[in-house]
Amino acid sequence: MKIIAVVNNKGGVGKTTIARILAEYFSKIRNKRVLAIDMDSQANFSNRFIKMEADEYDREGKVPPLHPYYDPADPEDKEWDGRSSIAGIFFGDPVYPYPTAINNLEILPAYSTKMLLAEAVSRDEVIEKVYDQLHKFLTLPDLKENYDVVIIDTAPSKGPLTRSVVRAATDILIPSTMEPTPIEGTQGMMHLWKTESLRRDSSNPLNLIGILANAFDKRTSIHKDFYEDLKTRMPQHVLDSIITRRIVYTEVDSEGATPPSIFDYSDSNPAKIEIINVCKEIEARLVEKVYG
Amino acid sequence: MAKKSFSISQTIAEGLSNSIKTVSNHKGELNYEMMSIHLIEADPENPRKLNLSKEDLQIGAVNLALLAEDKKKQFEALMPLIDSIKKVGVRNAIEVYKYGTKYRLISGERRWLASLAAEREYIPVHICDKPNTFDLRYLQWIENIQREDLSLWEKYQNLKQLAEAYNAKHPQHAEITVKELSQILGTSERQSYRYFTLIRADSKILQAIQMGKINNLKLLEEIAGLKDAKTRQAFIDNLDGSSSRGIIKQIKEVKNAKAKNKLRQQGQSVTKINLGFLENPATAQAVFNMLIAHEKLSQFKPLFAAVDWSSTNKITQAFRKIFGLIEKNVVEQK
Repeated sequence: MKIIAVVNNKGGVGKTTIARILAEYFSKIRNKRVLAIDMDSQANFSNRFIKMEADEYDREGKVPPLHPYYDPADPEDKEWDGRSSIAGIFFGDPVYPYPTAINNLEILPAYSTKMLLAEAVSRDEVIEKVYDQLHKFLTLPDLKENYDVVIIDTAPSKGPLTRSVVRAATDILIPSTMEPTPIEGTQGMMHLWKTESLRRDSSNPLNLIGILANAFDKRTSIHKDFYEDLKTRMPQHVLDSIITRRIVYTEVDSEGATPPSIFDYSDSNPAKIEIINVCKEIEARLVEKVYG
Repeated sequence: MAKKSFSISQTIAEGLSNSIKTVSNHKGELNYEMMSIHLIEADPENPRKLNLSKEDLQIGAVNLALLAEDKKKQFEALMPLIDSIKKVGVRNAIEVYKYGTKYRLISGERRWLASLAAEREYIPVHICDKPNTFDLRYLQWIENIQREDLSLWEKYQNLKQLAEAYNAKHPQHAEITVKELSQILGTSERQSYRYFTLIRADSKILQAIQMGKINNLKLLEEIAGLKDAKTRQAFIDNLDGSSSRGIIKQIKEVKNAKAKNKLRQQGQSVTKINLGFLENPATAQAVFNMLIAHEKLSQFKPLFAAVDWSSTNKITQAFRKIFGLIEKNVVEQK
């Protein structure tokens, strides 16, 4: 089972957009069983696939909707409030993925307040437990049997939740715009990759898929120069394919968009061609193409 | 206006490069964790065993009076470490490798046992890949050889395993040499020669080592250096495991005496006559033909039919032979 983490501690570089694209690529195009996990308390990734609701206790926070399988009349569901999220793994709550409009794609959504709470732990022994928790969850036999690929979106942070993602992942992808501050953000993620690689044994390495240039504007020197410079310095760790700045990516991300996904566009659509190239390159860079 | 150009800052570039190099060179080297002490077991293939076992030191169950004498001594030797671990824990992680559902010791047996005695539930471990046999034996050698309480027999066992593992790793080479041993062990050639003698020791010497009669490398080297088996055995029989300095002195005296005798024998022997030297094989052949033509020697001509007159060696041998024949058939007949 591949566990692909999309990370960069700089916001706005396109993590969520790309995580969504990967989740759809593997499920719709490659027909794999995909679990999407939203580890960002902002819950944007979750919102792409299910209708998140405002938290009544914190209007800025988001909570998952009632689970479609929740039955308040069922005695088994008596102790459950009907909502499930990835945050449940930190609190010992039941964790039930939500189905989505895509047949073989399920999502474990975020739960803003609970995740902020998990992020706020400060005692060493508790932090270690948080770091390990996602890894423990994703190695459960039930889970490994049911999914081929897990795509995890993360917050722009290097806090305990992101670290728990890095600890659990088999592969990490670092999207970045080709500008100074986001590239500085890649350095932070490379450092996490390094630290995690040092502590893993050889049977379970953390593969760096690479840095993916996003929102690329070919007309600008700065984007071209930074990309070339990065590619020269780290040829193996910068993807050859790039995602150019196109309004269509913003359009498909908006609620009620028609069509709702870049993969629903015609095969000759330049954005779709570009995205499929990127996804193919990412897939090729996964260490073993082992699914299931 | 000049064309704009941009590049990544040097600091970031260095940071990125450093991360890549570190992963490339060192991944997996920092696999440390606090492990439940009950998951760890000794490596039965490590020849160095404290007689103390995990069972002797079960948490909360150490009763000194019940231990056998040798174990009591070992436990007493372990006490400072046990006290230290009680106060500050184990400071340096022990090394283990995964073996089934447990973890086996590569190094750190004393820290592990002392932790058990100190009733620690967790111990810091560095989880390594299972070393190949040669690397495992080498790591064990490094750990063991520093310990003064290791007997020569235990050193022998460890070294033998190390040599065997080395030979298994290099099947196409002849057996390990002194020079190779010196490189592996990081010792001088002199010292590695002693270790080499240890590996090659015959069964009688090994028996003496196992019984503790030969307990250091210098004594071993001196005894193994005695060429005569009877003399060697006589010395071994008289060993009682006490200080070897006196015995080494005696052996050296025996060796010196033998050497002096040999020299004396060589000095008294003046029986050989030098008939001069020839460089030209043709001249040698001519002289030989004159000799073999003697009436009493001509019958032996066929014996020399195949002599290669271009080889100084063969010519020398032919002359030795004919001198013997002359002595027998010409001189003694008179």
